Amino acid sequence: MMAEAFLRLRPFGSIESYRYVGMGSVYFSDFSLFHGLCGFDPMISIEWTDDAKIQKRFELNVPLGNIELLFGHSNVTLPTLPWDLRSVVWLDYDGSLGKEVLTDVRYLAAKMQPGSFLAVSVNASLNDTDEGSKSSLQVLTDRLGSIGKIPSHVASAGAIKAREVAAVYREILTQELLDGINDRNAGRPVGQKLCFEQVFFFRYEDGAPMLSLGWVIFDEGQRASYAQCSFHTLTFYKSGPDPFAISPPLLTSTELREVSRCDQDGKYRKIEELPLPPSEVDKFQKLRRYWPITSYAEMT
Amino acid sequence: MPEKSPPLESNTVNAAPTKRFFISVLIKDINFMDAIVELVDNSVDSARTGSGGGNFAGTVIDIDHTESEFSISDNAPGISIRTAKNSAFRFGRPDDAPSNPGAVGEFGVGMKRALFKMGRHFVVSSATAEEYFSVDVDVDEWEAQTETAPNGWTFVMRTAGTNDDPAKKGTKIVVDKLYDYAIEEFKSVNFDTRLIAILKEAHANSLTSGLEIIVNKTAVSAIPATILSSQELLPISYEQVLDISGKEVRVRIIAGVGDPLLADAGWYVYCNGRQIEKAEKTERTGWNSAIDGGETVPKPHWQFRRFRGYLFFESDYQDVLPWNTTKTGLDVEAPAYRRIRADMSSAMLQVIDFLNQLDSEPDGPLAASVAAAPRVELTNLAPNPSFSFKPSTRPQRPKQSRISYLMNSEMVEAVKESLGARSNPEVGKQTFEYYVREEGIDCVPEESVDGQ
Repeated sequence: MMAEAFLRLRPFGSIESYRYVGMGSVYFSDFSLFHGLCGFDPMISIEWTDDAKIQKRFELNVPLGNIELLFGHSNVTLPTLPWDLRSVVWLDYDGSLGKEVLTDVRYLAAKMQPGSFLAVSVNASLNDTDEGSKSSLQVLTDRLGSIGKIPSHVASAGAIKAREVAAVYREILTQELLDGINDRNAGRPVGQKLCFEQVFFFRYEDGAPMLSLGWVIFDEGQRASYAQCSFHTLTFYKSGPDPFAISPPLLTSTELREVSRCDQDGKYRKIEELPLPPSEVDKFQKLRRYWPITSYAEMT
Repeated sequence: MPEKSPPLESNTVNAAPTKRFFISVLIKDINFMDAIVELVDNSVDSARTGSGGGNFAGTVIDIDHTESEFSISDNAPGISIRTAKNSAFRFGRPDDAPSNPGAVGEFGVGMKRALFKMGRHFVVSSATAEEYFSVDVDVDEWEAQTETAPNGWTFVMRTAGTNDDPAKKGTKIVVDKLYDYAIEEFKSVNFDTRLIAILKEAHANSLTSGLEIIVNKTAVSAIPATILSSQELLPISYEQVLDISGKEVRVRIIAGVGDPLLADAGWYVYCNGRQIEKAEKTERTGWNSAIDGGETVPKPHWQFRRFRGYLFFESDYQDVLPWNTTKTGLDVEAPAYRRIRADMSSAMLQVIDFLNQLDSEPDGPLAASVAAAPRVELTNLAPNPSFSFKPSTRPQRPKQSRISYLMNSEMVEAVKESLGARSNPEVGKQTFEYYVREEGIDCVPEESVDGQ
């Protein structure tokens, strides 16, 4: 789905010319996928480890020759890169939202070229059994380093319910991006200020509740180019606070195939005739367009 | 159409400021948030005149904002027409301006500076028990009037008259045609959080004396400052009266030990109840000299994270209080501050000496004294000229060490489930005790203290 969103950037420039910056982990699955679908070149993977053995493991697993590995914390490494290229940046953090995430977002807001795409993924929970008896609000305040980053309605409520965490995180991240863009716009003439639009807001489980947000950053004068991208036609397009929940259906391969063959004209059969839970069918229909049709196996 | 300047006498040179320059310079010294706090200061001062000096029960200051408008209103005694005409809107304080003993506003610039900082149009309406008025200023139109015109530096009072409802008193200010940065701030999801946090500190004294401040329907609640105090650990607390050029300044100095939070360590300075310095840890308060004592290798400040110092300056004469024009910091050259520096330094050295001793024996009787001392509100401290401490005679807490390490999360969860533990610290504790037990390590298990 993310690759589909990136491909829509063509009105800003050829997608193959974009630089991709990510946090690939040893699997580099996003790198392989995005290079294959989007043709990004160059590609940079930032990994935070100074353990020589782990670094060697990363080097062993690099799947493509045009991937540059940079070892170091993103707060320190991102500023070492040149930012004169349109880029797609996916900051896929292992942990929860913290001040280091906001530091990266603030920096990239100041630096990314118009026509670039910024995506951020974080663990969308506040649970941390190391925190002891601290309130959820205190946990988040400590992680962010200041109560000044907490949305006012959250601070006045004094607590954050578990089901509200993703929405609160979205508010905080969006405000940080906005603050960075506003600083960058200070003194710029009207019509040449930078702006951004949210394209997706995913919620999903990956061993833990996760969220991913994606924005396109562009110049006000490029709004026509942004409109030509037609992000709003994407089935998963979300520009506001309501997330797109990615929930894999609990259906067998046979059942998935049967659902895919169904149509409303009844040439084959109608979905309602299948002995399947409607809720699981709905989940598949939502993701059907992006459901993997192949899997890869390495033969040794 | 701007009016033409009248011709000058042949031997005179025009040295008058232009309004545009004047405004640009005026607003450079204050940031947007401090501008709002300035307006709150004015309301507090107005309330102080009605309260007879410090009890603000019943006084409410209401702050509201949208993306296009800001307003602040209060139910304080209000501004008289005479004051409005002759001094409230002057830039600077005329010699014959009515005094407001104990007020926060002094330089005669706060309200105007704040309003010019926020937007290009404002309306100030006020009612006393007897009368009311309103002044409506469009800054663009006002700037267009030539400075040298007879009414070039005046505003127009749009309405004025007798107040038919004496119970309805107070002042309301509305600002619109906001500057871009003001709009951006009001749009921010965390603006109110930040404003409330600042107001809590700046007006902590007034808030604990009955003042109510409401920001977009959220009440600002103050937490009174406290310091550790017990029979074994007595903070410095005393008052002295200074005569500064014939004007009395009362100073209360408090110094002692607080919670171990470096961000909160340092000096807190108040002038007429308004906090102007918070957790100050620079040479302006002598922090570096006191800690390093002239040594070439500075000591880590973390060791002194428990230091708390408070200075409360009170005077009926605001001009001798040691604050800058924006009330956001000390004027270190002010005589009142210079006179107190030696006492500050002495107080700090006494507490630093104790903290050095505490650091050298982290689990000893001094630490026990600190751990046992309750937090006492500053207003409840007994007078005490010197910092004093006694080692605790209570049974000492067993010496403890912290063990901290990272392990694979899945493994931790599996062990947690196996042990029936509810938290990661509990996993660490149980696995440690398991090892001690299984290996037969000969030590008497101490009673553990959670959270230490």
